[in-house]
Amino acid sequence: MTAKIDDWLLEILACPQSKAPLRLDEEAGELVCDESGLAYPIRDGIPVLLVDEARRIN
Amino acid sequence: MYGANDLSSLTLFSGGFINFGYWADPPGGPDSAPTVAERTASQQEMYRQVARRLDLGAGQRAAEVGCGLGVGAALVAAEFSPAALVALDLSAEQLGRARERVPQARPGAAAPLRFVQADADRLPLAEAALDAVYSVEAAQHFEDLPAFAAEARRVLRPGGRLAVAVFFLTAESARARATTLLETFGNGVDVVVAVDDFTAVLRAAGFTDVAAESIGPRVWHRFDAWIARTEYRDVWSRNWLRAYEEGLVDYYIATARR
Repeated sequence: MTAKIDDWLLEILACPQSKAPLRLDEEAGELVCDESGLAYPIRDGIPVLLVDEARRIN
Repeated sequence: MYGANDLSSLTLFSGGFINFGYWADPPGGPDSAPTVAERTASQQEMYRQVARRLDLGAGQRAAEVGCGLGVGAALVAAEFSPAALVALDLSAEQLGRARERVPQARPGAAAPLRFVQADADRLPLAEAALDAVYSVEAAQHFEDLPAFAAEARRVLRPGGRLAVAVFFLTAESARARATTLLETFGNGVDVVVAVDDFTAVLRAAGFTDVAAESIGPRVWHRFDAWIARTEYRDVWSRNWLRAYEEGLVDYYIATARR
């Protein structure tokens, strides 16, 4: 599974918890915040930037 | 509350917009029944009124909080030429419908409009990233208005503008009577505050030039005339006009500057 996100959008978005920038993990189809250790899903092309829906990573 | 129900499928909300409308002078005269075209135009005009108060123009970056089906955001993107418009909503179901209705917002499409699922009180946006933040008839569903105000201020650049269009109580003392008239106030679907309390929340968050302009004369009478020709003609919805005429609620566009 690969995910796309436009550069201009990624530039504006931030982690809803830490407010730090997000990076795209194309293969996982996730937006990752390294600061908060959370990975947010992208569903049908729409980033789901809800802390409750995020996957905790190490 | 927008899960299984697509409010835009109701005749109350034509054209995929979900707002009460900012109505032009009726072409058929004040006593004429509003047409579907007038109803759709009223909901589009509500978005234009909000966007104009943001001084939103070419090259600017903006967010809509509580975009619902996204057709309002699509209008703003098409008519006001922002460089970026991020349309946020909490509901996955609403965004699923938005995705179908507004294909120009899909990843890679040329339009500078994208949907993101997010909470109004935890905005997933970078600090000072935006020139404008707006919301149309959604703030009555925000759970934490002080948190929303703080977040809106955080994501705006210095000088950036906020506009919130929604109904408020005219005063806290109107709450008991308004709650008996309006079903969505009583059952908790709409969590409505007094207009002065909302502007106080914006000032407390650090906004300046805070104002709340009544647009009731452009909303309530024609909205009621529209309800009168829908399946809601005999139910409590007619009480919106009554609550307005009794001085209990009004429709406002609140504006502020970061």
